[in-house]
Amino acid sequence: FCEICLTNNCDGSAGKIATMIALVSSDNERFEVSEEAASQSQTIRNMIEDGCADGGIPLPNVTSSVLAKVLEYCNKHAATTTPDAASTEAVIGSAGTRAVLGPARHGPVVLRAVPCRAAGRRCPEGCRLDEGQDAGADQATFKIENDFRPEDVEKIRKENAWAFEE
Amino acid sequence: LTPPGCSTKCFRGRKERNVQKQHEASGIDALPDGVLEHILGLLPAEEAVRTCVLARRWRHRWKTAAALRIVSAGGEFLAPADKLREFMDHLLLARGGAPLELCELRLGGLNLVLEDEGVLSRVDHWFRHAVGCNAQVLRLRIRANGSLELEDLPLVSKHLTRLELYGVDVHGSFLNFSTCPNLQYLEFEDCDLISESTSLISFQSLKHLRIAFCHLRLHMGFDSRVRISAPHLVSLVLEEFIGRTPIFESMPSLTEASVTIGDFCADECELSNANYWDCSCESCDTYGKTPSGSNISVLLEGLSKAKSLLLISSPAKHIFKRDMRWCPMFSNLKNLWLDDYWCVPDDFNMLACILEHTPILEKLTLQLFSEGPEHKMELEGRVSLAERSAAISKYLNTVKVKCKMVDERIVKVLRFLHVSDICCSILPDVREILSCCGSTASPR
Repeated sequence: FCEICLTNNCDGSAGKIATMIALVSSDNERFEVSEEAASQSQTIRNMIEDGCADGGIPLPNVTSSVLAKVLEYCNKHAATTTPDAASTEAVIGSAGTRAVLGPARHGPVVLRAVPCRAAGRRCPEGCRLDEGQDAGADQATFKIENDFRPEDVEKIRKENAWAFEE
Repeated sequence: LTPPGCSTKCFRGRKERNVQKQHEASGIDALPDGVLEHILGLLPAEEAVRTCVLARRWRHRWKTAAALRIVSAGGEFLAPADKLREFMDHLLLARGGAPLELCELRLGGLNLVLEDEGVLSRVDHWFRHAVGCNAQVLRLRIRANGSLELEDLPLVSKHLTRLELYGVDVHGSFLNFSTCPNLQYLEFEDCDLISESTSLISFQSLKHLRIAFCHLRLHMGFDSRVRISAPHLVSLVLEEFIGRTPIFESMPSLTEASVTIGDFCADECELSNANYWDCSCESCDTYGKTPSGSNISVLLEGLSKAKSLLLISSPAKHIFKRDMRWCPMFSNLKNLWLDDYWCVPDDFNMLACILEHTPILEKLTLQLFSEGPEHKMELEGRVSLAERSAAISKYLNTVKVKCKMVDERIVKVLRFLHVSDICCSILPDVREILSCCGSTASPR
């Protein structure tokens, strides 16, 4: 896991001096991140390509306190073991990403967010689900330690069976 | 650090460690509740519920997810109708009235037509439940066999700011949005909008309105014209409606508007004669050519304050031509996009007339005999200062033309506008910029 480009399959190019992009929270605070990191979000990458990123990229859904926490987490959290087949990665993205869960029964379980192909290139508030969305790059990973006993998990699954696959 | 299964509430004489653990609420759990609720709201609803098995802290969090996204369009967990019904029944019960910011219901899609009666009969209830949870954004996208009719009751919500409806029938008092005083953005696509009692549909608070591929009418079965009042509208898209063209009352705050009159517009010459001015058929006559004809401007007067306009029409539809008889002054208009409807067959009278009523126009784009959105060729040329008519805006320097190929018809338009120094770019792959010089409108 590469802390700079925030992916598991870094090709080392992120080690170069990165151009910085400003992310602007809803209360107008600016946070500088590397363009590489910011481009993991398809939405932001589109904006960069469209030349809209010059003044900073607004994130109207995210306050500065939250954004600071997210970026702090992204910057400091290193990867651990390669996720096994049963678990998936958790990411948090800016406005325009969609979170997907791949549940694992045991061990650390995390959420995945994938950038969604917004209906318009600039997706100001959340996403619009389109047909044929594809998974994009991830931004950061979170871990949640499962403090349930296996029998508890079974019980809860039964309780909410209407939401689970058979 | 902590063996799995050991609750943080476990006081076994290790207070110090517990205090340490509480401060160390790690990773995602360190984020404020509001953020976690937002994240859960980004998930498809069934996946949000499944977070209940992640950890103790997550057992009930899904119940306060900030958004609900229900997709049953083919292939998803919720695609089968019985699964969807069962899921929704349980979900709404478990959530109770927990507030929502956004609710999206997408039922049916490219590969799946919603037919199940059990689902169809509950959609309205689910929709209203979301309204009752103070949703700010509501999206209802239905693909059903026939159409789904929403209940004839107005929505009441001071939280609702954005409403998007696709593929539903909306009757009567539903169109009364006076009980949604903060509704700013409204979109109807592929809907049937039937105003029962009065011909006036009033959208008092609206800033943005999009009506695409809809049928707007007054009563069932009557041939009628709806009148729309949206006095605070900033942007308007009226695309390919079915039936009579609606009348738009004045919109003084309008910044941009896009009107596309397509083949299903009922205001057309019954002889399919594109030359309205020479046609004496009854349908052309009725709309104001004679002194006894009504002289209400249907569209152009209402649009006259816009800064940016796109006006496209199918040839035999006479609304624009008729409205041009009382062409308003477009005193704010800087950006104008027209199609060949304005150029043929009237020897450019329409084009000349509208250019004379756009005193501060800066940008003119002509889409000629090409449907778009991609156009094979794009030309850009300058309007000659010496030769231009004095009535045309002095700020108009360049004209863009989008077409399939440069033929006689295109050349005629370019000559009429005294366009020279044309640059041409050809799609798709290699963008060759052929720089052409010369005072005649020859692009080669």
